[in-house]
Amino acid sequence: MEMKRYQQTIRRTASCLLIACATIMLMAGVLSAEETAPEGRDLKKLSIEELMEIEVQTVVSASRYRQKVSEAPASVTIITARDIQKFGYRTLADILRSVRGFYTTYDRNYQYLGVRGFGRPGDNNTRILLLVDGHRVNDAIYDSAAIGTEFVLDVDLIERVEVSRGPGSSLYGSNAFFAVVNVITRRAKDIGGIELSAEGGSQGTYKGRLSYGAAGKNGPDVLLSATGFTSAGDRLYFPAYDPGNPLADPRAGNGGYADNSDYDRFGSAYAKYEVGGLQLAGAYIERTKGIPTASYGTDFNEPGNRTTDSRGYVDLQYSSRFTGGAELTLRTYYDWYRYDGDYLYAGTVNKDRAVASWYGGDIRLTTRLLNAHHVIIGSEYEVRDRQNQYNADVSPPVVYLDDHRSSTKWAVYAQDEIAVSPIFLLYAGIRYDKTSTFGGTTNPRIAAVIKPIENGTLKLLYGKAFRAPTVYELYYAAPPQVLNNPTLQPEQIDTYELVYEHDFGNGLRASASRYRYSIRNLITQTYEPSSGATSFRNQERAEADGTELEVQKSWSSGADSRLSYAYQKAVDPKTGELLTNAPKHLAKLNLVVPIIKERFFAGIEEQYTSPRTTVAGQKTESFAVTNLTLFGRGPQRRVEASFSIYNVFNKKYADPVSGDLAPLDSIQQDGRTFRVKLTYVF
Amino acid sequence: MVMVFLAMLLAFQVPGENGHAADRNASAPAEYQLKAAFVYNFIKFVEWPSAERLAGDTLRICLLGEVPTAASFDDLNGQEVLGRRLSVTMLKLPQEARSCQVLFLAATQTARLTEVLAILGGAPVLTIGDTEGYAKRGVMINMFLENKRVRFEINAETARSAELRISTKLLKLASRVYGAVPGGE
Repeated sequence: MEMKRYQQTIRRTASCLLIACATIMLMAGVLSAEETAPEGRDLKKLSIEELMEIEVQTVVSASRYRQKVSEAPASVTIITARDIQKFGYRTLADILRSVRGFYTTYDRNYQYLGVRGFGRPGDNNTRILLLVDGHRVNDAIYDSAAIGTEFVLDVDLIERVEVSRGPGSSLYGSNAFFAVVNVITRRAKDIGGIELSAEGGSQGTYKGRLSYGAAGKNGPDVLLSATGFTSAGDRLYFPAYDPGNPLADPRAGNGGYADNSDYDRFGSAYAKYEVGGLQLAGAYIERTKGIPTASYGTDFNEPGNRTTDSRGYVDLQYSSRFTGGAELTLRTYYDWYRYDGDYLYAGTVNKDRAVASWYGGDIRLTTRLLNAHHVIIGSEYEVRDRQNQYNADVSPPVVYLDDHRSSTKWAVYAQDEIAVSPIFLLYAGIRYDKTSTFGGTTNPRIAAVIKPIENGTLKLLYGKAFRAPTVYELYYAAPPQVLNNPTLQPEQIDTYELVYEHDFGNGLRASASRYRYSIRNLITQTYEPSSGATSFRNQERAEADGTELEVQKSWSSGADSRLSYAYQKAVDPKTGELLTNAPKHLAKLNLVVPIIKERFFAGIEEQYTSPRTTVAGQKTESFAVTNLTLFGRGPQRRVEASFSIYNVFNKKYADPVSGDLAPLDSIQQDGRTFRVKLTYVF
Repeated sequence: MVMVFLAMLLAFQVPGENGHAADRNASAPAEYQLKAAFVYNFIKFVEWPSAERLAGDTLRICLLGEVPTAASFDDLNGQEVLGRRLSVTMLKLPQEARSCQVLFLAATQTARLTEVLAILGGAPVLTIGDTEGYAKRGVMINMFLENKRVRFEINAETARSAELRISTKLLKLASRVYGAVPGGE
């Protein structure tokens, strides 16, 4: 029965999306015939002054300098502040879930990102590099990219998110494995005064933000912002913890309900000061989440089970442009991270803690040489003076782990963009990273960007990327069950990609891509039956083959649409079996419909995910989630209001989770939830 | 669910008029879409000598060299500016340029720019470019990108030699003007 039902769901949703695709293409034809001014927006009707205010679409993350998206040596997706408003995105996870080929998993503690069919439950988002204005967000203990409510920046402060797919280690080093996600912050003058925002939603969720932005004429631009958030969470039911269930876990109780355990709250602040070529920025967040899932064998229905993550940094950057177009950037920073976990075992509190601080500097020079070359060279140096991990029971006091480490790393990189001909750009880049923990690694990337015909761009890419073993994987130990492994080596990935992007004019763009990757030395937690101990080992490999298609169409009325489909087959080459949590099909549709021009919009999102295998060998059902946001703005943009419904049709669906949550194998996600948001500018 | 979905899709069949520039809710335009719009606007601020004005009611915009996405300029074809109809042509030889009213010079013309400008002599052809240094070398209006926005510089000297009158409004909006600016208009 289940088989037939999910086959039907696939067929229905697939045909639904096909119809959507066909309708969009049809409407593209109909609308372009009707309009006298066929561009996405008729620029010719604007005055010169208005034209001078418009920005051309460019990207900075693919080559670490500003360039046109079509010329970037990577397939890039950009999500703007407008998208965030119109689709009611609450977290970076909501934003990334709309990106072609990306999917998330939520275990009611953290949000995890899967890219190109790879999203092993238990992994810590270590295979994407997350940046804020070029500053690395991945911490120095878990190398984790925080994308949920623990992300350091309030999404309202985001100007745009640049997602550069593919290997980025040739420019960025470790963790730029599957993608580099660079979050660019809003400019002080875009806030232009005091901005007050308040949100309220289901599950007792409230958020308040106060921001101030002012741009001096020749003086400094200042941006200050503070946010507070709290959510009571849901009262969750787990059959495995229901005492009425004959197969229930021994910790079962309270009828299988976890009360007051799904809470989520954070406080964050951000400041940016810019004058001339100098920029000083600082960010901080402290976020606490209750763990309702009795993970790691802890007590069930115990609100005392929680994790607190604190992350902060200060970043000082100076950029100078020379005549001839050369640009020099110097940067220095100080970062810190702290994780505190409280875990209750039969009433005994176990404290798990990690503290890290690190600082460093980098230098980067981009310049044009001999007419045809655009070169970037750079060097980075970082000292991680504290990378400490601790685990102890409070009472009776037993210390299981008290590990103190420090390390240093440095790197040097270079990339040349060669204009071989007016229609052929060749990129060749390489980076060498040396880390005191494992030694050195060299990672190259080569790409050809060709314009075979007017409006069409072909990109061929090969890149090698790596992920350094984290301090957690190397040194976390609680003998005799958990052993460390200081000899771990980095994971490596080889990726080949072929991308074709076409601009049809009239606001219609499409792209198609194929990729293949091969990962070796995959760091996996392995269990040794003889000793009964677990440790991390460079043991496994993974391979994947994928195809992605995307169509975007924008209309002069302000309507906008994006439809994508991704097929990926990620397998373990030893067994040929699909990896856990690797959906074969992902389809996404985003639509902005202007209801009252310039004033009132509807943002509709539809996301389909095919079945995924869990750690226990089960399969979660396929599902399609619909989100709807109604967004309105008052005259002169003084007031903005939105009403969002997430999971409009209250679809029941589950995400696979790691073995740490046993006996839970997959966790049901939220049903229909609402959010009202109001922003006022003084 | 399919029906609701289709209903929502068909709901926005409103072609409507054009978006206000201040709202950037449509995706940022491609570079050449924007530059073509600038060219369209420049024409409005330039006066050709009276002899030229009597020559017919088509205003020829010619493109010389490999212009990335020349299709963006195609969009100007058939548009009306100041009572004249625009027509866009791709040139093969600079000699053909004398019959144009507007000449866009691509980056590929760098090597032979002086030669092309010499061929034009003092003919009333508005030269436009988007390559570094073009205005200094004699191109009348040269566009460039600054902080992702299009800006332009003007060579008032060559414009005057060709008897083309560039309105003060355009001169004021330019980032840089080469050659003496005539006093008022």
